[in-house]
Amino acid sequence: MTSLMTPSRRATRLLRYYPKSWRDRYGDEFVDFMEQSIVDQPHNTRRTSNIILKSFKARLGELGLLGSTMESATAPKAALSTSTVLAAVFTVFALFYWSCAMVAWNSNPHVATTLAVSIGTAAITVSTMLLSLTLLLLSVVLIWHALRSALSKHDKRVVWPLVLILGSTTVIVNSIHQYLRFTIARGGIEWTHVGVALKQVAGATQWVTQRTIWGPSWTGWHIFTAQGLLNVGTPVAVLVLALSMAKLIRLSEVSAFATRAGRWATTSLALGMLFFLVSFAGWELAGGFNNSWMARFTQMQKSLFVVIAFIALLGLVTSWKARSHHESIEIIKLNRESS
Amino acid sequence: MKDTGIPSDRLGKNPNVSALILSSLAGGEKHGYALVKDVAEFAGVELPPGTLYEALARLERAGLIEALASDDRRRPYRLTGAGATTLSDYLATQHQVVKVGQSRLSRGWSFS
Repeated sequence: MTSLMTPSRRATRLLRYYPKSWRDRYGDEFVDFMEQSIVDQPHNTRRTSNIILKSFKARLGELGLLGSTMESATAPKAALSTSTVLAAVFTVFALFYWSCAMVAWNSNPHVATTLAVSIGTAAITVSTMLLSLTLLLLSVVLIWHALRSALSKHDKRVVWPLVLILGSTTVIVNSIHQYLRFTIARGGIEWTHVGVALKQVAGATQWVTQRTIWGPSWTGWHIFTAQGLLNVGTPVAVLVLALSMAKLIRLSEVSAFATRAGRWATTSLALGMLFFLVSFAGWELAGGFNNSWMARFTQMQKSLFVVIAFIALLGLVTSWKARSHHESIEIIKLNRESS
Repeated sequence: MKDTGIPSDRLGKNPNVSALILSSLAGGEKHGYALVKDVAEFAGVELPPGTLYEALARLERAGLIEALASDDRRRPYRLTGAGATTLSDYLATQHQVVKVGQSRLSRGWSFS
């Protein structure tokens, strides 16, 4: 079918593999190049596969997962927006694992909790809080900045992401309310007893995150029921929230301070994820589950741990690429000044 | 791209492709397709479009080449002063490699 298309149409179709920023910069000349190339050589598998591979690399570069060849000003934003989505998904899992560790800690009266397990539980708690607070701080700053931009500068581009953030947050808050209404923490959390309150918060977190992670698989085909909508709507809302935040980051104006803060946030999120993985692995090796009535780390949880380890790896790669990109920009500036 | 002072490092990833492009532009400004034809002629290497534009973007970002304004879709590229210096350093290194390789081959190997 391809040979029936005109060179211009084939060239335009190949251009679509590339990300938008790349198309904006090189689109016209690339189409012109391809039209001539197709006229000279109508069929060339090597040429097509080369374009597919390089355009995929350009898309990864856009996400901050590879060294970007595009505008240097967008690189820190790309890295931070990718890190935010990765860290948001990771944090849902981290909260689930933290709640497992916290519920398990000191729960078996017949087995004394070792110091190693207690240290592991504390480390998991700190790393989860670090991740959650970094994301929360980032969200507050972004939303505040976007609201100011929408109200004072009449920036219409930020309106849709803000609406989606508001909508998804409402869905998430409603889901938490629905999940907890008839289950854990009925009658409220006993804030006067710190230990009891912590266990109750962990129990509630476990229930909510468990439903968010596995809810869609429990729903099966019964999506259009109240329970089905709740189970499917919650993880979708989490993803919409993360992607809307990422969009806001990409739309935000870049000052020198914001660029520095963005690099710092990207690094913090990546290190937070790594810190969590190391803490949880340490806790498990120290026998964290042995102290509880709970089952040991199940095969399902092990598989999921591999998934979140992969997410953390992507976060680290993004952070590292952002840093090396920054260094290369500094070197290019020096080269230009010296020449 | 870390600058270690080695010419090939200044050319970034795939220094051979970068050197081919810079060598072509050393002969005068060219747009993408003319550049590929020129490289095929003087080096016998066919640069695929994805590789070409990846390298052009990298070299432009590094300040070794610059895109010129154009009225039509074809945008010509030109070698910059920094690009000429980098290419010169790189070719000097390569020349040294060629000399040493040829001299050692001539001493220990014979080809029928």
